[in-house]
Amino acid sequence: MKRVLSIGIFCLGLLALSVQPSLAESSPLSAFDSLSGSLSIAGGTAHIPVMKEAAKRIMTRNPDISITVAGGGSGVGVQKVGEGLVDIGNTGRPISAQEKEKYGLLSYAFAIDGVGLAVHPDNPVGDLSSDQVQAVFAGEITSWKELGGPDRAINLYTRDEASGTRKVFWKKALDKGPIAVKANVVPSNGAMKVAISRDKAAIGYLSIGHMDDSISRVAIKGVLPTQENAIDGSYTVLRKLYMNTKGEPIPLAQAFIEYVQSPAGAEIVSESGFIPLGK
Amino acid sequence: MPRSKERIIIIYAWGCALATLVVIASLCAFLLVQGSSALSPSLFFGEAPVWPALMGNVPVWEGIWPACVGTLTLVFLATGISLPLGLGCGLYLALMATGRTKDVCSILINQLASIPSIIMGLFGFALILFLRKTFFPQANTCLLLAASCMAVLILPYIVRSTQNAVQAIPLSQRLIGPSLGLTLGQNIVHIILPQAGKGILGGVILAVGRAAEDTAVILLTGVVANSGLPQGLLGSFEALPFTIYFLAAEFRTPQDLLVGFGTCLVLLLLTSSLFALAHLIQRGLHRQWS
Repeated sequence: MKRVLSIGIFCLGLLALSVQPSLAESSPLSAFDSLSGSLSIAGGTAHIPVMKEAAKRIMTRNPDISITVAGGGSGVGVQKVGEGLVDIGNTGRPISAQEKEKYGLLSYAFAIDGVGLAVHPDNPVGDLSSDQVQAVFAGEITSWKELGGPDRAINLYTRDEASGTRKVFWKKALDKGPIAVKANVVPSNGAMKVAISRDKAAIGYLSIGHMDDSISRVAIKGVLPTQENAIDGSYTVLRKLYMNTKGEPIPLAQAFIEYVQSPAGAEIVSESGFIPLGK
Repeated sequence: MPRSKERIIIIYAWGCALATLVVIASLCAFLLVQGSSALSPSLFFGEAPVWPALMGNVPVWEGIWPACVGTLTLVFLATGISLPLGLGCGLYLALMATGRTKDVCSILINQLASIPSIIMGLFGFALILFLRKTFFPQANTCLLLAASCMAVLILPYIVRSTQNAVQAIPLSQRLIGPSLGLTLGQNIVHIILPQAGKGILGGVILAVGRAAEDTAVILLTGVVANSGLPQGLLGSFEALPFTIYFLAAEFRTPQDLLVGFGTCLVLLLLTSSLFALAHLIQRGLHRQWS
């Protein structure tokens, strides 16, 4: 182990001499070399892939660090970090004023998650106005014919009340309008994608990072839900993903947050289907 | 009863049994078709070398091996906590409790059986918050907490099956022991438990299955997405149901979903082998006692 380390350091030294003026910048992970101990993270399910990958890279670099990532949802994330059970609590929504007050939380946004409308690939409908979207989800428009599609009844798909994805869609695309009671409730982005790709009459909403060829994107007011449109600001149905700490973070949590917000972290964020958000 | 009615009842019973079998068989077939292609060493160990990973010497990042060990540990712990309690409670209700006490206990057990598992998880979470504020400021969610909450969740199955199995023993047989001068304790060990063993086993199997599959209880009390093999009672752990839940919710590629189905299949195989083990233990004990 020592030999490997010394060879590693020697190589890094060579690298630093040849490429860069200082050793500290030779790897985005070098901030963790002097740290050890454990870091616990809990909260939003959508955050888990990003957190897990970051943890994997950090722990591979420095085995003295142990990072655990748990789920539970945004509410659990707030409560666990607020009560001191974990070091970082993840939320898919901003911390409310009450939560901030009660626990003294600090928030660090690190990614943007767009939420878009999707239909079955065979469905010709590809662009809806805001009013049409609201009328469809309120259950006032019930046939694809009224939207320029085939003569077929519309099957609505929505997410459960606890979903952050539902919240942002309801707020920003439906203008807090009603969602019909007859809408089918699915538990996750994955389930939504499967449901829409198998139902020719379906319409539903899901995270843009989850969209692929198995479904067809629907533009709202002429703007398609794509990562590019979310980045340049033309597509506005978005939410931010946050890491939260109780007061100032411990050194390891601080390093972790900085790593996720760094260019190296941005790569992980992109791979997980979100839009990175620098500091 | 006229003949035609007899016939209808027989056909109905046969039909129901057949329908149940068809449902179970098609469920297993579905999982096999969907998940069997995912069954490979890489499903368990990801990119890690197999032997060192099996022993926990190298961390497993993309495999479900730590989750298998976590689920097994959880099931053994939860059943280990719950079985002595449940057995004792069931024996008390069947042999010693009378009148009002028995009624109150029965109502309480039924209440416990009707508590949704997420409530049990919230209870465990609240318990930890309470402990942090009072006796143990260092308390945190962990394997022991998850196993304890799970033990409470599966307790009614064991209590009820023990009680019913003991009460099903004919009175004449129950009285043989005492009539020959056996004490209550000797009677329980040598006569009642061997007779009731099969019935109790049924409850244990239900309990084990429940402990292996429940996600809601462990979600708030200590399960994590990455921790390697369980690091003792006070550490966090991974579990198969949470892995399945997480993959089903967040899968991005068909490959992810395939791993999810593979994990379902592994969970099914794991519980089946636990049932077989329970069966063997029961048979062994039966021989020993009688």
